[in-house]
Amino acid sequence: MTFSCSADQTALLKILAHAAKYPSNSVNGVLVGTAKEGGSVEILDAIPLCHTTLTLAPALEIGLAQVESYTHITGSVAIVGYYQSDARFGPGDLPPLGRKIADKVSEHQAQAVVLVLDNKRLEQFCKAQADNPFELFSKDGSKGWKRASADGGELALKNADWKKLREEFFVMFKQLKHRTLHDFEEHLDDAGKDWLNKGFASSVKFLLPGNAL
Amino acid sequence: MSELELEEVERSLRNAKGVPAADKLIKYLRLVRELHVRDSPTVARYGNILLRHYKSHLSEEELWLVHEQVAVAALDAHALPFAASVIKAINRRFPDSVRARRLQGMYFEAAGDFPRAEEMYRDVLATHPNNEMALKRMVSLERSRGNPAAAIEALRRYLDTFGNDKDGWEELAELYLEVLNYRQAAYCYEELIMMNPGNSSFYTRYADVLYTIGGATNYKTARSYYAKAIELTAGGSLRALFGVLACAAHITDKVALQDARSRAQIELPEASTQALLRIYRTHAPDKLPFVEPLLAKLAAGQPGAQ
Repeated sequence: MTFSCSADQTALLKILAHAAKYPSNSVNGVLVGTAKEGGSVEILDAIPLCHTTLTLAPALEIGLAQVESYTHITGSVAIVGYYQSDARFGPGDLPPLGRKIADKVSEHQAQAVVLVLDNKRLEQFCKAQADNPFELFSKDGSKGWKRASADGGELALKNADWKKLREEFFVMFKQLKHRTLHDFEEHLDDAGKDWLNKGFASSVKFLLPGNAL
Repeated sequence: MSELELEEVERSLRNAKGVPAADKLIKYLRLVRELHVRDSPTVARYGNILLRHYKSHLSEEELWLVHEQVAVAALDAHALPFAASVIKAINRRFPDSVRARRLQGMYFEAAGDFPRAEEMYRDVLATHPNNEMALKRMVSLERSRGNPAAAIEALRRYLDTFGNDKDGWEELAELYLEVLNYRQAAYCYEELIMMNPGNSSFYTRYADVLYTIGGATNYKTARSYYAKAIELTAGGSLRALFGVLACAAHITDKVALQDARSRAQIELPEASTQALLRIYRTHAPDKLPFVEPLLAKLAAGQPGAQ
């Protein structure tokens, strides 16, 4: 069974925005999209969850429950994985607690993925020395999570244009649009903050010259 | 109120044509200091402009406060050459100052030269064993090295002397959570609640920790701390309201209805549910369809995402 995973540009941009908004914190969130029988996962969106601590259950549980409700009601997407970005400047590793959370997040999915932001590769990404700053893990049956690179797999960008993602990221960052991204913890502190970030994608696309409105 | 002021002055700085005005730069940096905001790239950028063009606008005292603020921001933003130049200026003005030496140590930390940073701090501690700054830097050093256990040791030692440092206790709690030592984290929040009995977020955090540890007694204790947080926030804390419901879903004891306290235990979840629905209806009606099924599950005794 060949495993493949592709991601929508918007989903990855949201993860980068979440990390950029809280550069001194570890952040995490849920990936939604579709997962097919044959082993392909399509990440369509990222929903940011926490930024103050990833080790306490309540915010995670309530957030996850709301996201599950969201996927049931919209019907078009399911929870397909988990993402995490560590506070420290290190490589993209998935520590034991992260694995546990990923297990919890994806317990209803046979096929699931984890994206970990590799901060060292992120530095190279910003300097245009590397394309993909994300480390991809896939569910290895009941054995846990396996680095996709171990099997020669890697994260594919839907429109295959990492350069475009970089440009959008820079524009977003320069315009401080990452500050307009809200995660679930922010929503808990202020109900008016939208953890679905419905306006985010279009507000960023609007900034790039040559992008249709 | 001040946060709005900060937003305002930041916006006017962003929209400035050419070099921004001195008074705006000074006001921005002052507000950042007052509000303890951490936005280092912005502070470094505007601090640089201020120091380069408008040094004469500042009093002697504020001038060097700004130097220190900008140096720390530059280090945090990893603008090392710039940080070095600011620290050099501080050193020239205050040779042999402990405060300046700790900035040098921070430079070595930022550059990844941990042994040299440690040397600087131990040097200071040799002659000033209770120097707050140096003791705190030893904690940060271990964190940067990826040694939370050593950082915890150092921070405990610091708190032995400076037990009233609320920020210290908060950081210790964070460190304990990082190494998944929930019980010790709980103890830290107990200290914080004692020091700040009016701060609702410490009650909520404490309850979060107990809930995470789990077990019947902890769910009950957590529930009462969430209830206290609800009281302190006049029913406005979503974390506390959801917390009460999550605890109630785990508590399966049958309750005697005659007892007034037990009645409260039954009424509390219902009151919390209603409060949540009110808040969502008013502030986030688009989320109601996601929240209603969750509230129903919790009320039915199925803890969310168990």
